[in-house]
Amino acid sequence: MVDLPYRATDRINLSCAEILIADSNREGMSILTQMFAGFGVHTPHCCSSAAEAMEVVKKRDLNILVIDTALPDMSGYDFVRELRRSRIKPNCFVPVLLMSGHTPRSMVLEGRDCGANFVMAKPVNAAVMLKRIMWLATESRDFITSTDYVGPDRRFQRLGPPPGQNGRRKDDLSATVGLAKGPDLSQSEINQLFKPSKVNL
Amino acid sequence: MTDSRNIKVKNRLGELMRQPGGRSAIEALRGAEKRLDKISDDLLRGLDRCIARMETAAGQLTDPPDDKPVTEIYRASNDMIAFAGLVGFNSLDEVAHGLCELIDTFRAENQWSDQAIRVHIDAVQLLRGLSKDDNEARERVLDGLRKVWSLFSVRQPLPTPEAAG
Repeated sequence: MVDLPYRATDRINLSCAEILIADSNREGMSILTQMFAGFGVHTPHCCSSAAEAMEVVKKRDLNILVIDTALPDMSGYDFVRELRRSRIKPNCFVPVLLMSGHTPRSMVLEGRDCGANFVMAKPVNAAVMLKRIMWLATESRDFITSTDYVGPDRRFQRLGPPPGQNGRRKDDLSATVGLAKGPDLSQSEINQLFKPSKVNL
Repeated sequence: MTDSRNIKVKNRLGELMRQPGGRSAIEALRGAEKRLDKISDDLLRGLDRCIARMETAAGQLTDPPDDKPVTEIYRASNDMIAFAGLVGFNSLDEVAHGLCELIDTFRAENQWSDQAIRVHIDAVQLLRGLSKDDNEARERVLDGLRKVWSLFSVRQPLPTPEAAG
């Protein structure tokens, strides 16, 4: 059994979910539609091209997009970029899973930088897909809009800007620690900050 | 500093999934796996279609290379990766990954060997016809391809996770 980030008895309700799947490969599409049907999705929107997918984006309020990177009329990366900049609300903010068979590092980075929430390597089994959907359902990353990038915040950890570089955001703090201001704290004041619990030695 | 803006977005998916009703995670998982089992014959036919596409394109390979058949072989390999492992052909998944990497390497470094491409397609045909229990023959084929990957400094695909396939 695959290690899941939830209990087997946790309930999920995808019966009203509007899922869009864009994949030009017949078998790839079949795998995803069967998988989502098993998860309880009633009628996924199945598209074999970026143009078809964009038509659905304009008409329906979607909950998840699953996009193959190799669409016949446009790459999945360009489709996601266009979606994120489309200002079609709420779909421009919708979670996007990008899928690809061959996933060299350059393609994964492009997937992250085009505004996808996650890049998944094929083949994807049901447990991995469910795990990813559960993760999307708990996602709380801000959405970033800038001249170079529109999509979920690419920073998963708050590590500040790289050493020697100025931050690009207004709330980025400097990596350099300034001179101390005020007197040193006593141990009891430090203890108050950390609230240490009693330890029996 | 670039002019970026942070927007708090409501997680509509999370809200929807927490609605009463639905099914347990384990029921959802079992439901999906059951449905995937039912399409395994279709997937095997799809696998054969991918191999046929590769063979047709391999017949059009030239030296120096024409991009059209090379792209078709790359696409067929990429499609094969999506489901070969799901129907027990993990070795085909490994070969398809290796073939995509090889084509990427050729394109990036301006190298070419139509023989190196053809040997992958021969291997795919051979592995498709092998009995699932014939681990020894399968390993011999994969070992041969690993030498080709090494010769062209191709990033080695991860070994197949299961013995069978």
